[in-house]
Amino acid sequence: VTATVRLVQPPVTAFQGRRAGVVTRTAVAVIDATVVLTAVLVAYGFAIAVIFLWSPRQFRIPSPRFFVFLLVAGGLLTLYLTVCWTITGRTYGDRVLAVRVVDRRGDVLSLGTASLRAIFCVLVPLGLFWTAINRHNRSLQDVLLRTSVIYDWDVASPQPISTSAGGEHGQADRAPTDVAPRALDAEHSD
Amino acid sequence: VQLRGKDFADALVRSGLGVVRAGLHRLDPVEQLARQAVTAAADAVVPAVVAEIVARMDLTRLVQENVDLDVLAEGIDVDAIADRLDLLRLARYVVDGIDLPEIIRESSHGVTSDAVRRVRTQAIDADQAVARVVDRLLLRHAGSAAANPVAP
Repeated sequence: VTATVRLVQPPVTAFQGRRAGVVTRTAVAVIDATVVLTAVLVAYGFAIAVIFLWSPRQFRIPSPRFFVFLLVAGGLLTLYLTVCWTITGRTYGDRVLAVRVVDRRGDVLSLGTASLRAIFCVLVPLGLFWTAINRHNRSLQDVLLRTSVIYDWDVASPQPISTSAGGEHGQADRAPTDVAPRALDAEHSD
Repeated sequence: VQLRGKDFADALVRSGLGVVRAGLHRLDPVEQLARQAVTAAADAVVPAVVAEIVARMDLTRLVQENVDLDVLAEGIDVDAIADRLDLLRLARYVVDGIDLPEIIRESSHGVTSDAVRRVRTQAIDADQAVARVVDRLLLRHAGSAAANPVAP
């Protein structure tokens, strides 16, 4: 039997397709929050420049309330997470830390699940730390929506190789789409 | 080698004929006539003969075996040659031939991917460490399910 698998670095093969821990996921959250915050600040600077060019004489630096800032940043973060999880299953932070958000079957999230998860993540960010306590490394959002964040190092090695299934490293060598469904189903049954 | 051989033959013939012509001025008319006939014959025959001889010789090997090239090289004034060269133009030509942006891109990509790989593995190690601490705190002696192999 021949299957297409991807080359994964030896130290990581043992973790490929398994749920990511709290440290990795916190790092992902920090990176994504930084990306969105940067986008908001750039947009703010752009808005200031446009207002200045529109009427330089009456120009005053707009200072939105903190509540408005939080609303805009939260909305943008929700949109960003929803789009990324729906299309590729990865945000920028996920790409950097090589993890992927999948549903209980190991597939990319549907639009509904992704948007619900994004809203839940933005409203209850502390739910992430349930990952440290949960036996299966699942956050509050994961438990409620039956989603998972798995290690997926394929982003680090873009060149796919073709080899026979169940090679030297056995299960761990397989792509996460091969590993995740059975693994996740098995754990959801408990 | 053949071209160089012909040049060599031509030079040899020209110098030989020069010597013969110089000697003709000191001879009487009859002898001069005879000499001119010989010279004409030599003009026709000698170049062809010499060219044939040189064409059959391996001049490169001849030079390699009989000429001390190191001694010749010592006599060459390299600085004078370098002074005549447009080194800046030469350097620009060499740089144009090398795809420097691609080399820089490749090396920086290698450094970046190494750094990212290190961060990822350290994060996984930290995940494991936290899981172990929490397991110990919650008295989970079997260890967390996420840390064990998940596939059958």
